[in-house]
Amino acid sequence: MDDESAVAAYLETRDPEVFRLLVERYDRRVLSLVASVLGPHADLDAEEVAQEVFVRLHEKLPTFRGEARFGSWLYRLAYNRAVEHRRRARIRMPHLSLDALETAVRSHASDAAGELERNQLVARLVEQLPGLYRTMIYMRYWLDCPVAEIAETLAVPSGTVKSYLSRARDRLRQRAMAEGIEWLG
Amino acid sequence: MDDRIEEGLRRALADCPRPRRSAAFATNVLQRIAAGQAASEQRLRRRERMLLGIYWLVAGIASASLLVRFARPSWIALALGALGLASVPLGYAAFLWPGRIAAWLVLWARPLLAEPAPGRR
Repeated sequence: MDDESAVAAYLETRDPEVFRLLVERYDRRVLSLVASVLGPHADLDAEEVAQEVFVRLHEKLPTFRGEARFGSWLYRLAYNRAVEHRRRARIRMPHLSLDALETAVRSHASDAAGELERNQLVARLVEQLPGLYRTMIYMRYWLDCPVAEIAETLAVPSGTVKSYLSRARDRLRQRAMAEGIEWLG
Repeated sequence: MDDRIEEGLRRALADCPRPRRSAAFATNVLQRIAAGQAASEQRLRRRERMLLGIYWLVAGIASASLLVRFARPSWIALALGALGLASVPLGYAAFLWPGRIAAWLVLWARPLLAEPAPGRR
């Protein structure tokens, strides 16, 4: 059963198992999208928000007219909800834990401490990127989504994803250089 | 140069925990939907009851204000007052348990609606 038929069948029968079919078909991708918008440092549970997206989908399903593909429509809904949640969320940037610092000092492991510091810096720079750039960076480099999947989820051509990723990397490099950090450049 | 940045990004984000989808994801979604529907139905019922209550109150006050203007024997005033007082709980009951009220009316109206006995024609 394709998506549009499943939607029509659900609206006609209100059979929860038909809705379950739609949820199970899209849950992984919706979760990836929501997590990428929220980012790894938000104090919100991506799964909670993803479930809320499906609850919202259930409310809005009667308004689905089939003008866009069901998947694109759902991803748009998920993106908007995740952006709303991110606005309200608190972003807790990673910090060097005392344990990590002590380990680094005791073992004179300057490399380990430098690595932690670098990771902290990258996290901060990525968080400062504009929304869509940040989401794409997280999808690609945190969740390892292929470019084609990112393109489908965000309803843009693959070429656009590649160009946005390239621009996002450029911005990261420029910001790193502006802060006098040379490792990204 | 891009490779270096990509590598840096991957390394930096590698330690961040990835979101995990629980096995009960779809079941949890369906449970949340069911809970939400029950809550919204309850809200709707409460709103309907409130509106009905307001309607009866307004109707009662309007009727009473009209009736006090007319001269009437004292027993009529008492009867109307009793009817007015009874109308609100009866209205609630009719809304909440329409089946029971219909059954009650049928029970009381049965002697009037029943076919007369042949001898009494």
